[in-house]
Amino acid sequence: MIKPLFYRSLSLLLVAPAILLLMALTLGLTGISDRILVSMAEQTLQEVKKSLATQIHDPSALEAAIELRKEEIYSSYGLDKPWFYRMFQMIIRIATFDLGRTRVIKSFTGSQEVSEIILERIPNTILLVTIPLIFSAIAGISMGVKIASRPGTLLDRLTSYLSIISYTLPSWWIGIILIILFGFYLKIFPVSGMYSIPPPSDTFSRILDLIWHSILPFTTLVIVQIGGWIYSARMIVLNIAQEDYVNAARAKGLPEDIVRRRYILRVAAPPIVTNIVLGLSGSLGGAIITETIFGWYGMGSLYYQAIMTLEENLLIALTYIYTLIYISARIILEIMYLALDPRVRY
Amino acid sequence: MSFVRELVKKAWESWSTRIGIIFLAILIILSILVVLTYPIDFGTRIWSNPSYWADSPRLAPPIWASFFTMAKIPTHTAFKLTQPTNIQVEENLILMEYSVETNYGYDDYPSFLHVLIKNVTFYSTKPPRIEVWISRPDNLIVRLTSFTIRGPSPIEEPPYHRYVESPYRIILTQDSTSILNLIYSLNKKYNSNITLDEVSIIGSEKLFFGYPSKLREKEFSILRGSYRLYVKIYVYEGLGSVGEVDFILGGKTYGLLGTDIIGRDLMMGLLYGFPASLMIGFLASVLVTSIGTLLGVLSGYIGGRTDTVIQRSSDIVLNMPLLPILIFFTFIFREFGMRFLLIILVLTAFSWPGLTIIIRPMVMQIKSSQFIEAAISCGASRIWIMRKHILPNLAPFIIAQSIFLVPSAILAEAALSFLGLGDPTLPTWGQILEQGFRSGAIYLGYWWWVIPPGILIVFTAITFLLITIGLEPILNPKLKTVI
Repeated sequence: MIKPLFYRSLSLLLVAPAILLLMALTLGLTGISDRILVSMAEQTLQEVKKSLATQIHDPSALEAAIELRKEEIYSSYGLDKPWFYRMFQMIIRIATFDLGRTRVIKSFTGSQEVSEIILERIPNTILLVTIPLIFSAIAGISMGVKIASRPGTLLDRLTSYLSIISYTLPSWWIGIILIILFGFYLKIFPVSGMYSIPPPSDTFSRILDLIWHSILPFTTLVIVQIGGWIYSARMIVLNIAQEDYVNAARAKGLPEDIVRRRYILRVAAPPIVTNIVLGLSGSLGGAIITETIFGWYGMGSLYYQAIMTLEENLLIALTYIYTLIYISARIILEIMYLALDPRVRY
Repeated sequence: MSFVRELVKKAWESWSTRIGIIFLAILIILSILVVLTYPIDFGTRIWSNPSYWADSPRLAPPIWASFFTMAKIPTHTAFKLTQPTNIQVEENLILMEYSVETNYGYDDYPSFLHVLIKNVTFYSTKPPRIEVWISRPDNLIVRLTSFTIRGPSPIEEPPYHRYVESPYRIILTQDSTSILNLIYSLNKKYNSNITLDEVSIIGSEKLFFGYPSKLREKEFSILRGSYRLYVKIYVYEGLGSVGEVDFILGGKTYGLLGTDIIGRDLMMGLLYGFPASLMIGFLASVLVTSIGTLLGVLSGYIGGRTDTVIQRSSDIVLNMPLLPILIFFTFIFREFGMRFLLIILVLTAFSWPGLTIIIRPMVMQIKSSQFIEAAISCGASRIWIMRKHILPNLAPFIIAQSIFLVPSAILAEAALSFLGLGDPTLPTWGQILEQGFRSGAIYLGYWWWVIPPGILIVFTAITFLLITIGLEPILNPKLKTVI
């Protein structure tokens, strides 16, 4: 029983190095990584040239000195060796959680340590993405389970169609519409950002300010997510409710309450739990577009920033962390299945 | 093809599929119309070309938006004259007059006034002279501006052609000669003392369609009534012709869906989005379905090492974070051109495993059935069995899955476009939304720019989802009721 679980986890764990390799190869083979480093090295070289020119006046001596420094600078950036040496080192480094430093992007406190920048953003993302997710999961699942017990009624159909619409709504579009309506025309909520400018001084009103700023993104995410939860919960329950053994349970005269609890919901639990765990783990990666629209400093907008400025270290580290969170969730699920679903036997 | 007929028949029983198919028909008809009527290089030559939109108002809401405000908002009006309204022939001189009369009764000023002159031909070495006049309801008649067309160069032979490629455009509301002439006449008539420096504060369009009502505050009121705008063209010594003279009164509203920040007619761009989205959706779906099915069938039927390799790799790809990876690859390879193909390819490269993993056990189940054993004993080859026995059995399921993949591809493309990674040669709804957002639509309230593209994205995605809902009982035969 342990051995197959071990192999399954091992193959999931392979995803992390695979993604590191894929990104590093892409950055290396396209020459983008070299280009970034060369431009950085050239920048340093320009500064060195200026300071050397004030010290050395003989043109040929200056030329020789610059040439010497150029080689030094290039090798300090690792440009004297082909890109795969550098990339290989980077993969090993990031895989062992030595995430390195950024070039331009700084944390709120001014640090350029990748790990500090990421740690600072996680609470913001939890506030913006994870809390709406938990809310819509709880509300959606309870509604889905409820309407599934009476399929075909008007309420059931209406909710189903509404949840399909909710599923297709792009979060960024709903976000924009809510901002235009409540932020621009009605002026009830702020248009963007996490705090007012300037932020309130005492902690209590700071928290109130943060909540006030998070109402629109919260509503946006609940509107676009709840439909998926309702519909999937309804489908899972409906699938089980139409099984023969449920009919058999009813036929032998069990009260509806027991049929629901023991015969339907007990069986529906594992897939629903799977959705919740995967949703939670995914939410920690942030919502790239929603965070960008609402000017929220979370993991998602950080990733977008990292891509647009091509912060190699940050980009690869972030993807690595997303992947790790996701695969750990998958491994936890594999173990949980053993407990939740007695039919699963390795 | 009996399974397709079966599939359609079964799906048609469901209400949602019926609605979905009707919606799909609308989408396809619109797309075909757009493909037939739009030029192939619409994206580069028209949509992304600011000079094409020089004569339409910027950021104008749709016409129907004025129903909500009580005021009468000027709509965009273009008068195009291909024939002169009046010709006078004198000795050595032809005077052609192009004139339009309009009754201005709006509660707001127009956004601009343009005069366009196209395709002038003349034979004399003395080039034609052009004058632009305005006659206002307050009996003010002003010669706004006049100029002489560029004369022939020594190497040129008659007839001489001018303004053939692009028209000569006089932006009267920004033309300092016209404004000066107008100020001079207004000051004389109304005893005002407006100077050229004050025009930028007052707004030049008020000079054309208003009068100084409060002299001290330099305040203007709209002058309603009948206006006449005319262009006089003097052609010397012989023949000459003018192709077209246009008077364009820039509205504060435009068309059914308004315009964006460079004056583009949003309806034109949104209509183009129909074939663009459908193409992206269908192409991505076909690619993902084919690769996913092929690998799933191979994995399930051949088994052994092939199976292990395919299953492990699909496991790995399936567990990669899709959106970050999509953004990463589209961004890295964006410089290579053909970005919409790139988006489709990246989308395919990371979406196939879902189907492979579902199909494998289905193939294994079919493989163990007796008719396959019979086929093997008759000497059928592996490829024959996969093609003739396994694929037809999977077909309804695969078709349903491929329909389900279309909206996810459309939504993914819209998301990437919204992040500024779309294909600029192929305007899509996501890109229109992105441009609206980047131009500050949320801070300035340009609702007509951002609401319609989103509605269209959602409408298209819902169309395909409605169709799949009806197919659910086919995918999942145990299920009796869906919606």
